[in-house]
Amino acid sequence: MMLVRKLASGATAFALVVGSTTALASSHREAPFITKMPKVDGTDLYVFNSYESGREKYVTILANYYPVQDPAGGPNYYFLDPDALYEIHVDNDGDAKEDITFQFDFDLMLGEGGSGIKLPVGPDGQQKKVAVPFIAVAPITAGDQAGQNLFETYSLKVVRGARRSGNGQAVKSTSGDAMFAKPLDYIGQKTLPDYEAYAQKFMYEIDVPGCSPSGGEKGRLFVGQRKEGFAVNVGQIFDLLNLDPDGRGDVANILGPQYQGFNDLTPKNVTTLALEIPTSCLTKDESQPIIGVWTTSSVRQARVINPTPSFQKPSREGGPWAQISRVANPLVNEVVIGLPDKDKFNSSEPKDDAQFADYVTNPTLPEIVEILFGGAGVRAPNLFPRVDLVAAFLTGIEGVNANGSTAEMMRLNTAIPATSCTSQNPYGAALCFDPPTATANAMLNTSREGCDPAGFPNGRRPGDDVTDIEIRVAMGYLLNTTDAPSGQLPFVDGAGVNANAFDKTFPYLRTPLPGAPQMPKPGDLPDVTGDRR
Amino acid sequence: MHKHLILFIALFGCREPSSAPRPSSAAQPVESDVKSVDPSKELAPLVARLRYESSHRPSSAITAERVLDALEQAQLPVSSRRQYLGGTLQASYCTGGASRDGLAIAVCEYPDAEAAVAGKQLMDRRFAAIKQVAQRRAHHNTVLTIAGDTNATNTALVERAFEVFAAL
Repeated sequence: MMLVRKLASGATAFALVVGSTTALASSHREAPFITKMPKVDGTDLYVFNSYESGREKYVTILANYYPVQDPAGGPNYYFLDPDALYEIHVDNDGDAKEDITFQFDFDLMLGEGGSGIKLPVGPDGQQKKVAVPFIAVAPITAGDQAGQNLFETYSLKVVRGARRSGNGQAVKSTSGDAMFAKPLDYIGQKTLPDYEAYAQKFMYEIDVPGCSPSGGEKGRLFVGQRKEGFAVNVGQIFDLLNLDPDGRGDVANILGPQYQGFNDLTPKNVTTLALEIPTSCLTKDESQPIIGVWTTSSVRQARVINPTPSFQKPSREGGPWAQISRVANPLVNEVVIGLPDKDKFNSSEPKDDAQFADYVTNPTLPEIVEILFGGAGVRAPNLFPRVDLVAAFLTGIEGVNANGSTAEMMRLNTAIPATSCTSQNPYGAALCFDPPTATANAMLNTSREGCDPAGFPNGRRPGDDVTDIEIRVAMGYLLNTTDAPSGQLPFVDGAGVNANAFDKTFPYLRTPLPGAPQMPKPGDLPDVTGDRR
Repeated sequence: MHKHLILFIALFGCREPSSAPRPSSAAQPVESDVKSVDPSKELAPLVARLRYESSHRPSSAITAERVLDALEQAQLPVSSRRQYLGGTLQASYCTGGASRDGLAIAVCEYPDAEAAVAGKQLMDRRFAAIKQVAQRRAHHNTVLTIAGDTNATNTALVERAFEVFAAL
């Protein structure tokens, strides 16, 4: 029998069960509490109409977890938490409550049937079989995984209705399997000589229960390590917006070109939960094509550390699930939500977002930008409450992706056709507005040159430069120039990105960086690699 | 084996380098360190940098307050006044606000006239993107920036403001 490091979490009653959801709630690396638990730290969510050729009837959802992975992070690398639930929620009727939840539940198992690969050590006749310390002991390929000493598997459920009380059904591969496998992280080129071919083996075609598209479309599923796709000058942004502070060339110019080579995440990997689902399986019906999506992770409220741990039982978990990470639009919890409420935000649900309204209607980021650069004439918007930010973050944009609710979700109008990889504009739908005048706000104009309505903030594709877009919108890009004197300035963070940096097929995010033989250092790789598969 | 492990920990486990400074009450930051920090210490908190600049202003013939007061006397009052970080513009001190018509008005003080000219050039170069809607003049040790919509009303206001500034 295989020994699985999955604990009987819900069934066992523990002495130490925390009754209040607030006591142990919270999450994400931008929030204090989640920094303790990187495995369940949601980093980015991408939701877009699939732009892979021939996949027009699908929506792709990529939920990234476990941030800033150094490729050489051995010997354990980055397996996910077998005691957590990773979820992707979809609201398809505009009430800010989940109607569909995709629920990932991971298991972890040692090789050789659960006991771990052992080597005989010692002279003949006195040999002892000793467990090896590594997660792989021989080269591993798509066809040969005998040397693998750690296996991650997972099940996927679709829950319709409320995530904890709704009807859950197992997702199965089209070959009937309800258990899926996750590839090893890219340890290095010696262990995994053809990582992409190996990883492709973990791509599944799936049937989504309760959904029978008229065209017989099947979904796709992949969970595994990818190269980090988010481009952000995170170091300088959190270093007091250290962008061109005094004319030095070693920091980005906040009003300089889009690509300045300051993407701190270039040498990192991340773990991606990737789904491609027939659009008709996500929308309520054709009259309501807008979906709102967010991802969360949850752990049991109680964790008791085992003082005599084993691989199978390093701790015991119990009690109800407590959500500790929440991600939809990028950078919301990083730069919008105040420090005292970051953990609360990560434990919250979109339907309750009124409690965070002040952070959107009266944001602090533009004020900081003004204090830093006001001497040169930069001004924060002077309109309060910031109704433009409410539209950008909380309601969606009328005529594009507003769905009737006021809540922070990644909204996608599935009826707006995808833009091909080669035609995407990294500034996405943000360019679909005529510039404002002194008295009139920016007006939606989807026929405007450069407009790419299939991009952020109508969903988000990997190549959308969301950091630049969000800085500009925060500074009043959509407001008239009286209310936002600096709203039309081309603010940047100096870390550019576009669709060229990604594959044009599912799961779009590229092969992770190998841990060996070399680990790229910041600056070694350009923001955009240029080659496209 | 456990003995070896214990010995290893005893030798190397929690050993401090001999040169490591030992914590003492004298090493704790004093109040003045927190309130006022040399801007060359780039990791200093923003508030501390602003305080430092506020308390280390150059002895100027033309102060920022004098410029803003002169504009007010010329019927160009500047509201929502706030201090800006001067270090981003190689200035000693900056402050500003907005006119009734929404123009952004900022005054930066420099150690001397030469530094003011250099500061203006830095702003023009580094903030070229707002050059179209921002005008700057250096006068003595001070730089006045006015930014906003370039409509006819504003153009007249800007011209008058710079006349007032030049007359100081």
